Amino acid sequence: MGHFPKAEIIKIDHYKDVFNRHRQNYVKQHESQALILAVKQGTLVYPGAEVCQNMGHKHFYYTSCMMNCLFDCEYCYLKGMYPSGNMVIFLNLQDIFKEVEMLLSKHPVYLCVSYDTDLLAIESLTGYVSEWIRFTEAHPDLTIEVRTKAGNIDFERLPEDGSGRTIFAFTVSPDYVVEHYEHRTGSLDGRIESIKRAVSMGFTVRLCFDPMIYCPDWKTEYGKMMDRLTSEIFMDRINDVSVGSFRLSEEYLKSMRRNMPDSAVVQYPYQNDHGVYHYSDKLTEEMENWMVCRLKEFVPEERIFRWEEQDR
Amino acid sequence: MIFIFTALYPEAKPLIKIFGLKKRTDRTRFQQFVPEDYIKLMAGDNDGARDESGEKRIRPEIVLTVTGVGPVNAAAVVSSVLTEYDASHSDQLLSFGTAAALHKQQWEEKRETLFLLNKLLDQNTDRCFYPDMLVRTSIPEASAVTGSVVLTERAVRFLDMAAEDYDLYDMEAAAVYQAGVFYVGPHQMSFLRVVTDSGISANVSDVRTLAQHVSDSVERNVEQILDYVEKLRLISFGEKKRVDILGDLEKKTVEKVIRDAHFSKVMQDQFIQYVKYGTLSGINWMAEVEKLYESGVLPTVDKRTGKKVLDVVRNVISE
Repeated sequence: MGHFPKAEIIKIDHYKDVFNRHRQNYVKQHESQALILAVKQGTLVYPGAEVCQNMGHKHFYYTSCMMNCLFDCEYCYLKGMYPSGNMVIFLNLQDIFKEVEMLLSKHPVYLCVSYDTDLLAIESLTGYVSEWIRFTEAHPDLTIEVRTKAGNIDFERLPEDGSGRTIFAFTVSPDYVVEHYEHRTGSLDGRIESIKRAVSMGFTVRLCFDPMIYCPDWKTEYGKMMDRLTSEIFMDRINDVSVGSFRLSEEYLKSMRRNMPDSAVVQYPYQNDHGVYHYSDKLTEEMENWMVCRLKEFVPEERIFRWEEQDR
Repeated sequence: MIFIFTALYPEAKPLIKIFGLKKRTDRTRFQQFVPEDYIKLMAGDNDGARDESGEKRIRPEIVLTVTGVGPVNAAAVVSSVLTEYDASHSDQLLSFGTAAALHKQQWEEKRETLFLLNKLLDQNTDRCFYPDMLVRTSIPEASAVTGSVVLTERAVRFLDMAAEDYDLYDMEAAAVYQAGVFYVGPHQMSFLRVVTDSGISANVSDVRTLAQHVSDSVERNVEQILDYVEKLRLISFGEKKRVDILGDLEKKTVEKVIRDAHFSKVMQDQFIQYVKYGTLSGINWMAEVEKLYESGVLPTVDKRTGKKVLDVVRNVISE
């Protein structure tokens, strides 16, 4: 608790007593997040969700050593998935490691460790990314993805990744999207700086143009972003890229629309297909094709992963 | 709107005075106090105060209700009042009252201090409730046990050990939370308590002196309470504003277009969604609607031509 000397400590029996209360308001709580320290029980590692990209890996899993995020992206599915905006840190990371080892005894594992949170945003507090890098280094059949929107990441404080099996996946968005919808995240400049530093230090880097968010004059906005990225980053040193436009389950979006009546990105009139909201087929094709075409100028096609219909 | 609940009149008295509230004489089951303007408005035959069914729809900015002592009274009255005024997402509930310090050794330091409760234990069911701590305030926090009987000095000696993690003892907080959560969320409920004693000695018989002591203790903290209520009022106002995306003119235009375009229910929902997004994104959809009227597309003769109107609006606000 040295990080929060003024914090009021409230003892609770179980994190769900606070996290799962009735009638909570995610948005209000996120404005003044409480930090819940807990022990995770039950299943600790889950098979990857259908709306997530497996990036060509057969045994695709994810785990949550934290719930909720320091950042505040208006369109984030966490706002529809969780009943609470408070942040939970699970302290029994070693139990998660044991469960991953059980899976590794059966087959190789591709594991996303920063899906329901942004671990790098809070690394100075938890040190969890460092723990995961060390654990991955010691387990040859394990590949992990650490997804982030953080800028100015202090890579010098992370252990070296000799194996290259820790993939730092940077979600990049145009300035317009960052300013309007991705509150408290790293700026595009900050993210580009972090990508450059990660590449120069030999870390494996993935660029995620996912979710692509529609905004007025989206082509110009994404075009400016691509110009900056490709002029500042050695694209041949990027491991792979993923492309996908915004999509969200019906249940989550309904809850988000109720809680965020003043958010344009949430109130956009998406199309509902079999319980998944997305842009119209025409707009989806146009946005994703445009991005893939731009990327093909710099990245071999086999390293571009696009979220396709068959992944649904 | 702010709902304030106290158990006793002496707890409410300083607040009634400072907020300039008047008693509602048409409420006999429990004492209810509202701003004088509201009483005048309700007494008059003001059409604006009634909705289409003739029910009075204007709500006071603040309602203070004296519930009576104990969890059953508190739960019954909270439920009744929140139903009567149709509590909603933008309202705030404040449970205010007095409490006893649970631990004798802390009595002197807590005496007549105001606390904001962050953890409420229902002594009867052993269940805990946690209101959200979202209001920035310098009021210190404390946890409380809610019991059904007045805390005696003898019981304090027992609870000193049995409830060592808790700071205060009261008779309503956990009950107010449990009844309130049927209507509002944990981010809409606050619990303030002034510490007045550390268990009542068995031979207390002078009720008038006791009542004066309670009023005096509240009076000493009234500035902090006032400041807290003002913060709740601002939150309530902000929340109401956040939800009202469309202005009056826009709302009227939406109603007119829905009527003139013969939209089905599904089409109405789609149109409202387009308009919401358009307004939030700063797109001038009203100008497009005006053009549709000028060019004679609106009003339409049937639902089928109404579909064209919907397509035009969709094309303007999205792709």
